[in-house]
Amino acid sequence: MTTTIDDIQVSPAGQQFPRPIQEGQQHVYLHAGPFLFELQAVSHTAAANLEIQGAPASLLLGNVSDPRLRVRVPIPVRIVREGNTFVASFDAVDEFGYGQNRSEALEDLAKSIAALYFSLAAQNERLGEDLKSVRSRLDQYLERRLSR
Amino acid sequence: MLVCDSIITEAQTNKKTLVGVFDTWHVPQTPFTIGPFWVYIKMTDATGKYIFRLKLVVLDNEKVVAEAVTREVEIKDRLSAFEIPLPMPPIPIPEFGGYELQIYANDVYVGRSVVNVQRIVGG
Repeated sequence: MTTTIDDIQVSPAGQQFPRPIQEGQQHVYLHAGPFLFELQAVSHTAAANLEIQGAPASLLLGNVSDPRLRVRVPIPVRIVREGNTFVASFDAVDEFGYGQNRSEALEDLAKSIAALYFSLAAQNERLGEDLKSVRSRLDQYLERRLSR
Repeated sequence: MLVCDSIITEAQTNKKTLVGVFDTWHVPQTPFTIGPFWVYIKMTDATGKYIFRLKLVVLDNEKVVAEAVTREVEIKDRLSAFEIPLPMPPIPIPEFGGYELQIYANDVYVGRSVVNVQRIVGG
């Protein structure tokens, strides 16, 4: 069942208080800005299926959490679980991140990638061929951020 | 990305006021329905057409509790910031523990905010 925009009560302050979503139910909202969100509650059955299938083992990373760097091309990341530790890896430059959950591992990896970028940039004139190759691969994914 | 009780938008200036920013829900038992609440997202350095996806997941096992997807939006100025104030309805939460709001732009992971669900202690 889909709730249309007309079904939603909007307060004078612009707040919206739709009825609680239920499993599998979809709602459509219109915001004051340009964004139109469609919200769905995932059923517990569906969640159980996700657990059986496992969370995605790879994803694309679009942010390395360093304000000096911009991701030009999304970074492909593999994530595996080794015991109680999650390991996120960026295979192209052989960098890893570790954490107690996927997001911590991703954040650790992002910091490692940013640190590697600046480390190689600082030593650019003295890099051997292997590290020049790593730097070249990093440059495909990252660039220094512009500022006004 | 911030989670709060409400967001007030000033009509003439479009300024946002976030009321009641928090990172923990205190509930008596689970499963429990939390909210409504708001999510405030501010981003920059985007240009082109995007579909944004917001997921609320269980931190330990990435079980998806709720998911919101935008229609395609075009952002023209990479150097400007844009805001997404998102009103969230009450959502059924399955268990105590850590949860995460994850934001994706065109299925690329760009950020997160951690929220906790804890049992109310005392009377």
